[in-house]
Amino acid sequence: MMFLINQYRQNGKIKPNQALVVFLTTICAYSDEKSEIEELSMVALSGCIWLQAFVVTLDTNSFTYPQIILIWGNFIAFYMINLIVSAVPTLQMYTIMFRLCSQPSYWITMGLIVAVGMGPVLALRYFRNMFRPNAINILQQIEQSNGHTHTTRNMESRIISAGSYLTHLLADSRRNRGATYQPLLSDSVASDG
Amino acid sequence: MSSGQEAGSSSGGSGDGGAAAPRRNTRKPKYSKFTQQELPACKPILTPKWVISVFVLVGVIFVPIGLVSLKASRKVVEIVDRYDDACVPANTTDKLAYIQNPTISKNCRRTLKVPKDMDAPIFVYYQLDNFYQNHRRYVKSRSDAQLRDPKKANDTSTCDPEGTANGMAIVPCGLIAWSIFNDTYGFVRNSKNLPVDKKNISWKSDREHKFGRDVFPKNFQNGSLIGGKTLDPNKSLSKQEDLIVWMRTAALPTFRKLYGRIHTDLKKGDTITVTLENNYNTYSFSGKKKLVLSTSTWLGGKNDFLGLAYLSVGGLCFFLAFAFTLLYLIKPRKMGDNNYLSWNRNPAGR
Repeated sequence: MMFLINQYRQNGKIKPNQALVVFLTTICAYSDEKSEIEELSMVALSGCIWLQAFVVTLDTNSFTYPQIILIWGNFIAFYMINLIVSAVPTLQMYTIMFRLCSQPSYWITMGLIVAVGMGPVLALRYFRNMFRPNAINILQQIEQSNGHTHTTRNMESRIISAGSYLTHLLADSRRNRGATYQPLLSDSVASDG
Repeated sequence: MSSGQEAGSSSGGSGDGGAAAPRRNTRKPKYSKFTQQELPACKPILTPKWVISVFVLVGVIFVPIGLVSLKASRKVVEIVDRYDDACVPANTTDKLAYIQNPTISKNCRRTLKVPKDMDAPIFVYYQLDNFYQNHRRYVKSRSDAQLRDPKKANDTSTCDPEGTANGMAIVPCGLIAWSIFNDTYGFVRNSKNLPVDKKNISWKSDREHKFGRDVFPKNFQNGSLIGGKTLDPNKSLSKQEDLIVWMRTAALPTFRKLYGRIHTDLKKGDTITVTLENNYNTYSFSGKKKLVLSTSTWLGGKNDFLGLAYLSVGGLCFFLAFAFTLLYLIKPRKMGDNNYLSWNRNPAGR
C-alpha cells in the first residue's frame, strides 16, 4: 500500500507529507477493522487522485478551458475507469468501487484527506505571497489590479513601467555588484528554494 | 517590409511573380485563439478576502459533519470479549499442546453484560489480532479459477503449499482456505437461545460470481496439517458462507469478520451466556481472539476518528480564518506594491 502511494507521489504532484496524510487518514478512518485489501487500497488511491486535482489547481496561474477540462477530466476519468473495472466479475476489483461509493464514510474520508492535505499548503502559500512575495507574485498582483481597465493610456503607462523596471534592474545590478540584493532570476531561484 | 523583400527575392530567383502570393499564404499558420494564446483566461491570485472565505467555508462545512459523524459513532453499542487466554484450562502449561490435542474438550463459557440497549440487527464478529492476512505469500495462495469453475478443479499451481494432498487436488486450495477460522459461538439469554442467523453474511457478488454453485469441497483438510475448519463436502462453495467471508482477505493485522446476525433486541442489563468452542490456534503466533457484538449505523461501526478529525480540522480552519483576519487588520500589506520588488527594496538602488 505504501508502495502504491509512493508510486503515485512520484508520478504526480503530491508531496511526501501529503502522501503521509493520505496513508494515515485512510488507516485511521478505516480502522474499524472490517476492510479488506482492495477496499483500503482504493481508498488510498482515491485520496491521491483528489489531492492531485487540488494541488494542480492551486499551482495553476492561468485557467483556460483546456486546463479545467484536463484537471477535472482526469478526476472524472478515474472514477469512470474504476467503476468499469469494478463491473468485471473475474477481477479482484469486482464491485469494490460500487461499494465504496455507496458508503458515506468513503466520501467523508475523501473530504478529510483534501482538507488536511491542502489546508496547510494554502495557508503557507497565502502567507508567503502576502508577506514574502517574490517578483512573480508581485507582478501577478500588479497585473490583476491593472487589468481592470484596458485603456491605451494604461497600456502606455505599463510599457513605461516595464522600461522603468528594466532600468532599475540594470542600474541595480551594476551599482550593487557585491550587495545582498540579486536580480530577478536569482531572486526567483532563491525564493523557490 | 520583410514580406515585400521576400517577394522581390522570389521573383528575381524564379522569374515567376505570380507564385509568391499563394506560397506566402500557405506558409502562414491558420489563426485560432488557441494557437495565439488568446483564450479567455481566469487568473486568480490569493487575496485575503478569498483565503479567509475559503477557511470559513471549510469550517462551516466541517464542524456540522464532525458533530453528526461523532454522534453516529457514539450511538453504536459494542461488546468486545477476549477469550483466547481465558478459555485455556487453568492447569495448562503449554497452550500449543492444549489447542493441538483433539482429545481435550474445547468448550468454553463466557458471560457478557449488555451495557446499553442494542437494537436489532446485532452483528456478531470474531476479531483476530496479530494475524497478517495481507502477507504476500499468504494472500496469493489461492486459485480463483478453481473456486469458480468445476472444470478447473486441478488448477492448483498458485496454491502452494496447500495445492494437493496425497497426490490429489485440494478444493478449495491454498493457504487462505486451509486456515479458515473454526471457532463457533452460541448465545443464551434468560435461559432462552438467541438464534444466530448465518445467512447472507458474505457478499452477494461473491456468492453469485466468485464461488461456483457446482464446485464442491474435495480432499480438504486431508493433509498432515489441519489449519482450520472442515467443510461440508456435500455443500457447494457458493453456499459455504464462512469460507467466502474468510477469503475476503483483511488489509490490516487486526481485523473482524462477520460471523452472523442476531435479530433480537437486547436490553440494558441483560446477561448473555456464550457457549463457544475454542478451536482456532492463535497461540503459536501470539495472536488474540475476541468476540464482538455490535450494532451499526450509516457510518458503519464504532469509529470516532472521522468525527473528531472533522471537528479538529473545522476548528483549525476557523482559527486560521480568525488569525488571518487579525493579521489583515493589524498589519495590512498593499498588494502589488512596486516597493516590494527586490531591486526596489534597497534604498541605495532608488
